[in-house]
Amino acid sequence: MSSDQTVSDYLARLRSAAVVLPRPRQSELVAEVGEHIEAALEESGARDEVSVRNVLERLGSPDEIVAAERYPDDPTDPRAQVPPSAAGARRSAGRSMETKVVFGLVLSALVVVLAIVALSQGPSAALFALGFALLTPYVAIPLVIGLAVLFWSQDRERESAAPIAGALESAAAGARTRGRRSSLGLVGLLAVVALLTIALVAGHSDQIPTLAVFTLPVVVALLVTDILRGRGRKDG
Amino acid sequence: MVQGDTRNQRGSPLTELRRGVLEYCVLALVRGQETYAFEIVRHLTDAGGLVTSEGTIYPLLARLRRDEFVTTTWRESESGPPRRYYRITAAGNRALATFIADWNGFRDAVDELVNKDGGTTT
Repeated sequence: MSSDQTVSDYLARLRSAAVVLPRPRQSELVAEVGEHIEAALEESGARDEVSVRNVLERLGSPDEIVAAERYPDDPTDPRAQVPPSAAGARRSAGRSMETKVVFGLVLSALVVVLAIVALSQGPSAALFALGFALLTPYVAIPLVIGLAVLFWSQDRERESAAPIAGALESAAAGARTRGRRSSLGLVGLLAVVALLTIALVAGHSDQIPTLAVFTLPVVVALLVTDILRGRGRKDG
Repeated sequence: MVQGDTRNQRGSPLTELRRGVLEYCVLALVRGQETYAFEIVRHLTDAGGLVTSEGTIYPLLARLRRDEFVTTTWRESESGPPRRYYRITAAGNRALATFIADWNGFRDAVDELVNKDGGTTT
């Protein structure tokens, strides 16, 4: 049946265009569109080639649909016009490059420090030093600022609103909350608790008050970052 | 987003306006009673001039789900596989209410200017 073949071809093209989307969304989108095609054909009462082509015509091209998924605020964005695989690779490569460099540098520095301490004073001291190094203000505050900038710039880019509808968008965006990202403040708090526990277990309980004093500003900074991220989004 | 010289390539400014209001039209459709995706698409196309490619509604629905402006329930259907029924949430209602207030003002203002008596060519 050539019309079934047309449908399968279309869905195959949609599936391959959708590889730039998050995995769970890929199959979900193809399923949704597939069901739409079925429902539309049933509604029209015919499954011949002409009916199928009409349904697919109204659906739009796979690239259009995937572009709407990736660039919800502007599917006509020039980046969306490029074959999705190239654009997706370029875009996520750019994003992950910055992230990789930042984390790579931080991680290497930590590994070096850890190795030196472990070699000279033994593993539990190294673990303790890791926590301490991570959470002293001199290391933590620049790190926090860097992460905050990174997260914030990602948030803003994802939320850019079309100018003409901008007045409507930004007013309504205030009601929109995306509480799905992890709270940096919470992560920081957990890290501090872990550090204090290590200190206790490793026999450094006399250091605990000092540690608490050092780490408090960091947790506060992280919580402030959370609030700013939330407010940044609210103001559109 | 750069408008400038790319405006001609994009066509009518209504294109962007459609995109901005479409999600609120969807929310309005699922405000009263739960509706499934295909029905939502049909209502939008019947209303006229709101949707160019029907397929782009599905990413929009996914986004509304992610933002928790709608909840979904799977229900059996007599004619085929189970369907996902969409219904608005409290958050969705709030967003919609804000939009409606803004839209009415916006619509009236634009209307006043472009459709004002004496503004039409004789």
